[in-house]
Amino acid sequence: MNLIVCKDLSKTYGKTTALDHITLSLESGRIVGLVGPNGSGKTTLIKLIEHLLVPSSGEILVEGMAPGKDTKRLVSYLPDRDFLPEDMKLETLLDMYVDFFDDFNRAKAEEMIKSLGIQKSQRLKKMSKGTREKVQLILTMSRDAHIYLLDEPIAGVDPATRDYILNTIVGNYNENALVLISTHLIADVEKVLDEVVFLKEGQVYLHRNADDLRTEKGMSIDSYFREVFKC
Amino acid sequence: MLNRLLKYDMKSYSRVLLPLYGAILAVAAANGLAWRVSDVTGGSVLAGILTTAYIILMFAAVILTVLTVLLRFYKNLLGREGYLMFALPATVGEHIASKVISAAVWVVIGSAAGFLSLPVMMLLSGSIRTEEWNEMMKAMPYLLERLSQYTTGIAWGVIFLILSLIALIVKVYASIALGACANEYRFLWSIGAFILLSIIDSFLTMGFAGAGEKINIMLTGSTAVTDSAGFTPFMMGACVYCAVLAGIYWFVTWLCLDRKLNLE
Repeated sequence: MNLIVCKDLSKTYGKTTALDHITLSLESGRIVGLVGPNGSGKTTLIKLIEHLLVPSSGEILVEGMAPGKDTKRLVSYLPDRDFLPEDMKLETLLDMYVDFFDDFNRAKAEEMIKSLGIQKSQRLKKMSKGTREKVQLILTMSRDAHIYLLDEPIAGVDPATRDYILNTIVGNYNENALVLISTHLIADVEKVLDEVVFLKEGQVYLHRNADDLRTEKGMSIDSYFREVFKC
Repeated sequence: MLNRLLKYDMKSYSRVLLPLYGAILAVAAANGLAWRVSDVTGGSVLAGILTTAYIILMFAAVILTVLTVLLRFYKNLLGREGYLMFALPATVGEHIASKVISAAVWVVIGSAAGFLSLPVMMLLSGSIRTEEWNEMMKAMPYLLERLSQYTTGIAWGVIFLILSLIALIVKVYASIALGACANEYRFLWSIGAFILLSIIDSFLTMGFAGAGEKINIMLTGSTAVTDSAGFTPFMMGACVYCAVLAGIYWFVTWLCLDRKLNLE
């Protein structure tokens, strides 16, 4: 089942084209790597799916609906930055997720938080950057969502945290869901990918099954990425 | 979803403003008592300190209320927190409504705390004697009877005040949202937008007031709005005007947040 469909989708910022007539379909039950160098349009595409941006032209459908209030019930989104309210206590944040997301599994989130030794009574601003990143990931992955949008989840973190993040993603996502991971650190992520979408200068350069691509090119996706995007 | 958004907005406001408003009432009460004691003992140092503290708190409350109203909107919707807020299953209209309602409620609570602190202080200080208070209470039925002929007009007046407050808050939010469409100098752009909207607003208000006056002259042959029959339609017209103005600012805010969202 196609969960995300983009038809001739474009997004421009003034005279700059971020996405250029993209046509793409992404199915359920897959972990898809959205890869490309900085400025290739990865974050723009994710923001369009999450309705943080509106298309300049073309169409985008999430489970057959235009992005909006109803699709946000189905999509669990992890932005590429620190986005949680610093003044809030973690337990208030958990209450908030319970209030707003019917698919949020509080027990699962609390278990993961406990395993990391984080106090629920702690305010977000009192936590280290790394801990806040883990909390963000835990909240995102504790939803039984149809689609997970993970924007650069491993950028700027140490190798141990990187492993924790990838294990948390793989160990907690709904298996019928679509997981879209945007990244330019392919070497770390490629082992978990079912499919890969290369974005180059705002266009889909390729969309392939990860194993097929490795077999066809006779190299890892990371090596092929370096070849395609060689400066 | 609006009630859930309101729950968290009200909570966030209460964390900052409730202790401050509580402190105003507490200091007003302490100040009143201190003046009463100073009348007996003759020493007014404590009362003087408490009066100064009361005045400082009043200023702080005004500044902090305005800042909280501005920052709650900017930080929560247009700053980094916007990534969380706009991921919630709520419409942009619900987000704006939650911010406007919560801001209006806290401005009203703040004003009430400020106004209430004065009679509290006066009563406790003994500056109003019991006989005077009783006299005031005796005069109340007469006052209410005199006002009763203006009941409808007064009700419209209250609605007008609420709508004016809402229109002002939405105008401020529209200015912030317009400023946030820029990639740099958002604060300056917001101030520019507020000045521009205020200028347009003033011209529209002058035009509306002029039209209202002409209609009044046609209907009554006078420019004065004196009796209850003339006051009510005047206030009703003003309410409709405020509601339309708030609607326009609302649409501008919605347009910026839904069509041109530019998160930090």
